[in-house]
Amino acid sequence: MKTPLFERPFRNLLISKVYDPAERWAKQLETIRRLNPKHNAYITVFEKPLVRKDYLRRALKGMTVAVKDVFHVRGFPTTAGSKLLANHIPNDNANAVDLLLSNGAALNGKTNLHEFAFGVSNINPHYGPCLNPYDTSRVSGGSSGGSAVAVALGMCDIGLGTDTAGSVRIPASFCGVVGFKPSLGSVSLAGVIPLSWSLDHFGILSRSVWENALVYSALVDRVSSGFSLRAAKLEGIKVGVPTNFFLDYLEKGVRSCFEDALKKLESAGAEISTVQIQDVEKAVKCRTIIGFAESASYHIKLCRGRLDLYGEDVRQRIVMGLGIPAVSYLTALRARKKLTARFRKIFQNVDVLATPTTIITAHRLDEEEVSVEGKVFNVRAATLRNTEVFNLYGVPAISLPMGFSSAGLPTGLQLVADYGRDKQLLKTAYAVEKLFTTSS
Amino acid sequence: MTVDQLMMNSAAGKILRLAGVEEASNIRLFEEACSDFVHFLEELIEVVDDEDTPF
Repeated sequence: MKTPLFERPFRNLLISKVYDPAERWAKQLETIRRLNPKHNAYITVFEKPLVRKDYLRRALKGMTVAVKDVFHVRGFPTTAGSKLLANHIPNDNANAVDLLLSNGAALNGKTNLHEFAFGVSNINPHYGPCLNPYDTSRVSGGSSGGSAVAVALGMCDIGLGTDTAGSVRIPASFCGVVGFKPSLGSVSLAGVIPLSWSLDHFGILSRSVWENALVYSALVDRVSSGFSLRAAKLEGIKVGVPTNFFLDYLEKGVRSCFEDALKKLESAGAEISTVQIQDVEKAVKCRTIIGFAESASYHIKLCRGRLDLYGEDVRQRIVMGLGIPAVSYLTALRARKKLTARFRKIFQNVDVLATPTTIITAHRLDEEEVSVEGKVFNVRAATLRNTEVFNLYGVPAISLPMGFSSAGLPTGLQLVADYGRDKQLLKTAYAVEKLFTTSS
Repeated sequence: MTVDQLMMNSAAGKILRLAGVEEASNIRLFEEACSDFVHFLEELIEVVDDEDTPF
């Protein structure tokens, strides 16, 4: 099996006596200088990290964070990966940025994304395609791909992202890192350029679940010190595996890794059962209507007379969104409530759902279609297939590395919990990560 | 079809003009999307009941 690219977890370093933040920042900056010209992970690099003077007395102790370039950082451009906003310099920090700084994080730059976060490949026509850390002929996935690549290549410890249809979990899966999307609304997106107000989720990318949980806890609990994370007991935990939609078409390597993951979970005492998730296709359509209509509404003012400044794919999606009448949007909102209520009943019988995060591994930059078990998908549809409905439902979901395909590309295991069960999900993911690490 | 021609048929052309959409390919895309989204609406109508509200 191919091994992950990164060294020992930051957790071990943090508690060791050799931890020297300044030395670490310099090393990471050197890595950025060496690898960023090829991978296009960062749009803006901070030569000197932004950090509070008393960071060592704070929970995050100088942990480096790279923020997706939709989060405002005072005095630096928030481009949203676009040409239109290349010179947009905010006067205030995004709420999450303020919270991270006050918790001792060191920000080292702003990362590349799919233009306006409206796509999942991270092939950005303005700032270059963000290239996969395992194979530079392939995409990173997106739209928070720059953050995922920066984390995977050791340019930073944590990447911030947003997730409207899978934009944190997809690049996590393609790049072999952890990507967590907490419950809708649990972390403020004030000061973040939106894609779709009611579907946008905050997200965290990291090399391990522990680091991810530390940052999540800093944001929601405002821990000053003494963070701890206890792994859930896998024995007796009820894991639901969908019998429909999510496993219908899987690339060979993804299916093999997923089956292996389920065997490991079962051997650890987890109770695996099958579940039927109703109306997934309708939920996909519902999410599409809401997402495209809200995006078109955001862009209608910005794009006037400047539509030619958008990349072709994003321009087309905005135009499509303009064609959604109010009655469709409002009916989709009504349907969303009902579909979500139906979906959440699943958690009366299981603790978590498990699916592969993506049905494919990272596709090549020039691929427009992929054939998966005899069915041809366009790459966007294949990439989004297993993640997007969980944005409609607003529930927490996490992607964990679950092994490599025979081509040496990472695959991801997606775990999903009921709304508000974010911490329980992190504890479960921590236990699963330990299981995978010890049994690989 | 141009935006002007589209306006002859529906108010959709006004939306496109407001957004600055002028290229024929984008207008075609808009029309196709309108049609697709009507199909989506048909399916979602089946999901909702009279008492369901959007907010």
